[in-house]
Amino acid sequence: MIRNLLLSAFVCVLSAGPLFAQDIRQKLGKPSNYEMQMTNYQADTSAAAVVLSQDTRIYYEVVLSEDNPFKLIHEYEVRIKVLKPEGVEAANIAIPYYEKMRAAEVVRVMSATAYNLEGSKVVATTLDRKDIFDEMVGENTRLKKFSIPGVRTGSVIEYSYVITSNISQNIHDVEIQGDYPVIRATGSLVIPKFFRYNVNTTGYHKLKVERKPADIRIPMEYEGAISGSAEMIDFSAENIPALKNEPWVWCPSDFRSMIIPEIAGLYIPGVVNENFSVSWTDVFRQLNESEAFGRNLKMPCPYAEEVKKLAAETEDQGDLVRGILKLVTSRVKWDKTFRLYSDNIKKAVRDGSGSSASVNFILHSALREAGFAVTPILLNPRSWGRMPYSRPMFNKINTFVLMVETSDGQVMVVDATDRDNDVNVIPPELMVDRARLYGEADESQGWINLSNPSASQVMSQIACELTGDGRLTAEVTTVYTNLEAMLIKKRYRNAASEEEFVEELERRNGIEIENYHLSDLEKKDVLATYSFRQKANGAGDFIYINASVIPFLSESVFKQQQRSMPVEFPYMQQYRIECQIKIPEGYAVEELPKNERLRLPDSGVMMQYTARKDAEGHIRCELIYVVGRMIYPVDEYPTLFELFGHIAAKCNANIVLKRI
Amino acid sequence: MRKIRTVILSLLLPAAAAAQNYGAHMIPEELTKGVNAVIRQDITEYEYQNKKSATERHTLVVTVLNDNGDHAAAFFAYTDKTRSLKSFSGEIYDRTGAPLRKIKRSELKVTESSEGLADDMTVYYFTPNQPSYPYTVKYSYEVTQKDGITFFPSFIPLAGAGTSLEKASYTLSVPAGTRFHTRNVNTDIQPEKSVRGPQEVYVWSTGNLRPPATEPYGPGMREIIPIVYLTPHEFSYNGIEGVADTWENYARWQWKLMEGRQELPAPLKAEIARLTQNAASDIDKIRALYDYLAATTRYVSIQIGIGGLQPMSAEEVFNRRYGDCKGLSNYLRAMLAECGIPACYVEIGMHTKDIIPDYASPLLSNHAILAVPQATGGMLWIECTAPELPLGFIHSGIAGQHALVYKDGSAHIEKVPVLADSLHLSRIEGTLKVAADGTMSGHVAMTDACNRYEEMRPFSKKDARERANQLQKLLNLPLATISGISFTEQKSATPSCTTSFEVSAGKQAGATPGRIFLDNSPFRKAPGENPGRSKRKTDIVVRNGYRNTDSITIEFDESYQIEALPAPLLIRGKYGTFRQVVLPVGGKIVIERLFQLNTGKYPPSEYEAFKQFIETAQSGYASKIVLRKK
Repeated sequence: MIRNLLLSAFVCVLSAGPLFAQDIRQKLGKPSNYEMQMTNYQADTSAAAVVLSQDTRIYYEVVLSEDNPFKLIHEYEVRIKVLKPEGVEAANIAIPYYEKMRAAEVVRVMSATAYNLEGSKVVATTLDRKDIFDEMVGENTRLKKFSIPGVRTGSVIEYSYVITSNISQNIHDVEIQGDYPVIRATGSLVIPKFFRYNVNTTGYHKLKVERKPADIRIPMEYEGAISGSAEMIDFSAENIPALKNEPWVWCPSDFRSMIIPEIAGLYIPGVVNENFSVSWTDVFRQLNESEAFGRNLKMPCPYAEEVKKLAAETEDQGDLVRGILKLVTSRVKWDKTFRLYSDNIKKAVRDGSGSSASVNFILHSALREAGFAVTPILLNPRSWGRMPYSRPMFNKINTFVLMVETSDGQVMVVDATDRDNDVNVIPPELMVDRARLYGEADESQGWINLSNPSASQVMSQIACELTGDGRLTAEVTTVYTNLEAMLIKKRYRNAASEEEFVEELERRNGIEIENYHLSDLEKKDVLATYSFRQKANGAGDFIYINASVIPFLSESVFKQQQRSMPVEFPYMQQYRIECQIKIPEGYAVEELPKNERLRLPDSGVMMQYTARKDAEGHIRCELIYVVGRMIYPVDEYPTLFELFGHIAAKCNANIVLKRI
Repeated sequence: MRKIRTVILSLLLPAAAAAQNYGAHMIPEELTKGVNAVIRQDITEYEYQNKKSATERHTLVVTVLNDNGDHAAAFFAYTDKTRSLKSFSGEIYDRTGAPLRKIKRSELKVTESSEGLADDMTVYYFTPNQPSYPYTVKYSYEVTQKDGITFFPSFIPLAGAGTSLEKASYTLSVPAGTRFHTRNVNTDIQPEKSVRGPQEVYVWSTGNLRPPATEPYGPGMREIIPIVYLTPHEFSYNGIEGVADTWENYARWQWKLMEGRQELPAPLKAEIARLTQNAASDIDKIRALYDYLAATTRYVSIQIGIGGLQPMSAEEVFNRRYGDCKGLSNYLRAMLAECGIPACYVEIGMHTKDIIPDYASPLLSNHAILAVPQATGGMLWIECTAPELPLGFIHSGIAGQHALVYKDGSAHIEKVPVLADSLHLSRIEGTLKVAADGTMSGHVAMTDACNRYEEMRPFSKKDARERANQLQKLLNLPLATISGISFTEQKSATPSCTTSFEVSAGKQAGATPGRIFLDNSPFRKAPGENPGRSKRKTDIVVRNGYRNTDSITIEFDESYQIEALPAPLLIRGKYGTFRQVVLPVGGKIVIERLFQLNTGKYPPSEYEAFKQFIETAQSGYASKIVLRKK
C-alpha cells in the first residue's frame, strides 16, 4: 500500500510539467552546464537522445514586386542532447522540401554545431558548408542532408534552418512529437488577416495554444512600409514522450502531437477573394469547378460499346454493376498511387494504367453509361490518416470510391483499384470509418462509414477420422465470402506458385495436404477443398487431438505487454470452424475441452467453443471467432491482451480419447 | 490488285515476325511452366574504346505471364559521375506481340536518393503497369562511361526467382590487342572470338534457363548465379593508372589512393600519446585507441566519385569525427602507426560478396576493416564501424571471408578465421512451477554467445517495454507475462550476454479442465526453417552452424500427476546433434535438451536424411507434457 502511494506520488511528480526547464536553454549557443552534464532523461531513461528545445517560427513576408506577394517563411531551431551511442543518429539530418517548376521551397541551413565537454571545457565543432548535400528523391521532392561533425555520446547538438516558400497556402505541419522525447517545444505562427485559415492540433499530449493580434510589415511600392494586421498563434508544450511505432496501427501520425495549419482562403478587399476550403459546400463547389475532378465526372465512357453490350446481356442490376467493375479493372490497372484528381484520363485509358482517381473516374463514366446513379465518396486512405470531423481539410482527402444506386433501390460501394475487388468489397486500406459523400452539403449528414461494406466470413468444415496406423485423416471444405474471398485470391495470386501456396498452408498448420483445390477465382466467393494427414499425438492409452483439429490462433497475435496507441484491426472478421471426428473402434472419449464463450463488450472480439459427443459416435465441435469491432482504445488493451491469451489457451486445448 | 497486295504482305510478314515476334505463345513451354515471367532477350553490347571511354548498349525484352512477374519487367539504370544514360526507348506489346504503345524517355522516373549521407548515384526507373497478362516490354538503352573503368559490366545470364531466360548474350568489343581478364563463376560458358576491322569481338551467349530453385537450407545466390566477370588489364581513374591482373597489382593501385592520407593533426597526436602513455603492451594500446574510436567517431557514409574507393583522409575524419568503413579503418590505422603498431588496411566482401583469391576485381569487395599482425602469429581483425562489438570478436559478416590484406605497398589474401559452431551458443536455464489452480510462474536465464550475442545485442538498446515484447515472442506459454528483466554483457573476443527474466502465466481456465498440456520447450521456439517437401534440386547449405542447450525444471502441485512425457530422443550425425531427455525426477520434471546444427554443405541426394534430422529435432521441441488432475 505504502509502495503504491509512493509510486503514485512519483508519477505525479513526473507528469507535473517541466522537470528541469530552468536548466534548459531556449536559444542556440553554448549549452548550460546542466545540459552538458546530463546523462539521462528521467522521464524516459531508455531514450537514446532527447530534444532539449525546439522552436518553430512561421510567418509571411509581403513582397509587392512579385506575382505572388506572399512569401512564406519557416524558421527552425533544434537542440538535442545525445545520451546513448545509438543517439548519434540524431545528428544525421535530412530536410525534405518541395520543388515543382516555379512553385518552390528553398532550404537554407543556418547553423549546425556539436558541443562536447573536453575536460572542463566546452568545445564546439561546426558543420562545414561543403558537407551539406542536396538530393532529388522523387518527382517534386528534394532532401537537404548533412551530418553534424564531432557528435558522440554526451554531445549537445544544435542546428537551425529556414525554409522559404512561394507556395503561400502550403504551411508545413509542425511536428512536436518525434523519434526522441522533447523537453520543450515552442513556436509561433503569424498569419496576415488576408488569409482565412484553420489551425488544428492533434495527439494525446495537449499543446498550449494562445492567439493574439499582431502586426506585419507591408512594404510600399516605392519606399516605406505600412503595418497590416495579423494574428499570432503561440504554441508550447513540455515533456512530450517519443512517438514509437506500434503494430496494429494504420497511421501512427494520427496520434502524433502536431500543429496542422491550413490556409482556407485569401481575401484582399477589392483585389482577390479566393476560398480554398471552409465548409463541405465550398469543397464540393471547388471540386465541381475543377477540370481535374468536376469535368471528369461528366466525361464520356471510353468503353461505351462494351458497357452497352454488357447491359444488354445482363438482367440483374447488381450483376451489371459487377460486370462493369470487372470490365474496367481488366482494362486499366491501378498504378499504386492515391489521387483525388486526374488531369490525364486519356493517357490512363491509352496506357491501361492510372491513379486511384483515374481508374475510378473511368469506372464512374462506365456506370453512368449504363444508367446508374453514381456518386463519389471522398476519403483518405487509412495509412494516410483520418479525416477530421471538425472541418474539411483538402490534404486529408486523397482519393475516392463510388456509391452506385440502381433503379431497383440497391445501394453499393465499388472501387476499381484492384481486380479482385467486387461489389461492396474494397481493399482494407480504403475501409475508413469516415468518408464523405460528394455533394451532400449538410455538414452533419454526408458522413459514410466504409469499414464494413459487406460482412465477410470464413467457414470451414472438417470431417476426420483416425486410421489404424495412428494417423488422422481429414476432409476440409472452406468457404470464403466477400473481403475474405478477395484476400485469399490475393494470397493465391501472390504466392510464387500453387505448390508454394499449399506448402505455406502446410507449414502454418503442421499438416500434409493432398488435392488442394480452389474454385473459380473470377467468382465473388471462393471455395477451397483439400484433404490432409497428420500424425495423431498420443501417449500410452491416450490420444490427443487439437480442439479444432487444425489449430486456430494457437498463439496470441498480441505480443506487446503494454501499448500507447489503440489497436485497430484491419477489418471485421468472422470465422466458423465445424469439426466432426469419428471415434475409432476401441476408444472412448476421456475428456473434451470445456464449452466456453469469451468476449469483449460492444461487439468486441468474441470466441466461442463447443464440443459434444453425438449419438452416432462422433465428436462434434465448433469454434466461432468474431471481430465485430475494429478499434480498441489503449485502456482496453490489457483486456484484449488477456483475451487473446485465453483464446490461445483454448485453441491449444485437446480432445482426449482413451483406449477401452 | 488485291492479290498482289496479299503477295507482298505475305512476303513481308514472315520476315518481320521472325525478327521480332514477342507474342507469349512463341515461348517454349518448358520456360513458362510454373514461371511468372520470361526474359526473352537480354542483350548487352559493350564497346570499350580506351581506358577512359566505353559504351554499353542494352536490349531487354521481358514477357510477364502473371501479377507476380511484374517486377521482372521493371527498368532500372544506374548512373553516376562517370556513367550517363545516353539514350532510351521502350515499347509495350500485348499477348500476341502486337505493339500497344511506346515508352518515352520522359516517362522514366529519376531519383538520387541515397542510403547514407551522400553518393553520386542517379537511378532511372520505370514500371509498366499493365491490366492484362501476358504482356511484353522491350527496353533499348545506352550508357556511356568516361573514366574510372575499373571493371567491365559482368555477364549474368539469369533472371531471379520465378523468371526464366530465353536468350542472353554479351558482346565485348575492344581495340585489337587490349588485354582483359575473365572469370567464370557457376558457369562454364565460353566466348566466340572474331575480328571486326580494328576491333576484337567476343560473344558470350546462352539461353533456355529455368529459374534458380530457392529452397529451404539452400545455397546463397553467390553459389547459384552464373556470372562472367570481366576486368581490364590496365585501367585509370582520376588520372591514376593501374593494372588489375592480380590482387597484388590491383593493391598497388589502391595503395596509391591511400598514400599521404594518414597524416594526423597535432592535437590528435597529443591525445594518442596521452591515451597510450600507461599502456603496458601493444594490445592495451590497441584497446585504448579502439575505445577512443568508438567513443568519439561514428559511421556516416559518403560515396562520391573516386571517394567510393579512396578513404577519406585521417585528418578529414578527425575534423568531422565521422567516416565510412574506409575512412574509419584508415583513421585507426594512422592512429596505431602513431604509437608504433603496424596495422594493415583490409578490403573484404560481405553478404553477397567474397574475394576470389586468384581473380582481381573491385566488384568482389564492399567493406574495409583492419588487421594487426600478432606476435604469436595470426591477425587481430578489427571492425571499425561497429563500436559496440568487443575488440577481437570476429563478427558473422567477415568470418570465413577472404580478406585482401594491404602491406608494404601491395597486398595478399588471407582467410578470416571462423569460430566453432558450438561457440555460437544459446543456453537457457529455467524453472517453471505449476500451481494447484493451473497458474504458472518461472525464472529464465538465457546466455547467448558469439553470433548469438551479435543477434541479441540490439536488445540492449531497447526500452523496458520493447524488451518485454521481444522476450514475449520466445515463449510458448499462452497468457504469459514477463517481468524483472536484466541484461548483462561479457565483452571479449568470444563475447556473450545473459538475459534473465521472470515469467508468470495466468490460469488457462477451462481449456481442457482435467489436464494441462505444457510445451516441453516453454521458453524457446523450435529452431531452423521448415524443410518443406518439394523434390530437392540444390545442395543443402548450412552457413552458420550453432548450438542451443536448454536445462529446464518443471515443478507441479501435488494435485497433478504426469500422464505423458515426450520419449527420449538422440540423433548424432554429420548434420548435427539433437538430444532430448524429459524425465520425472523426485516429483519434478527435468528437461535436458541440446540441438546443434553443423555448418556444412551436402548433395541434394542427402536431403531426406537431412530433413529427417531437422524434423525430428523440431518435433522434439514441439512435443507436449501432459499433466492430469489427480
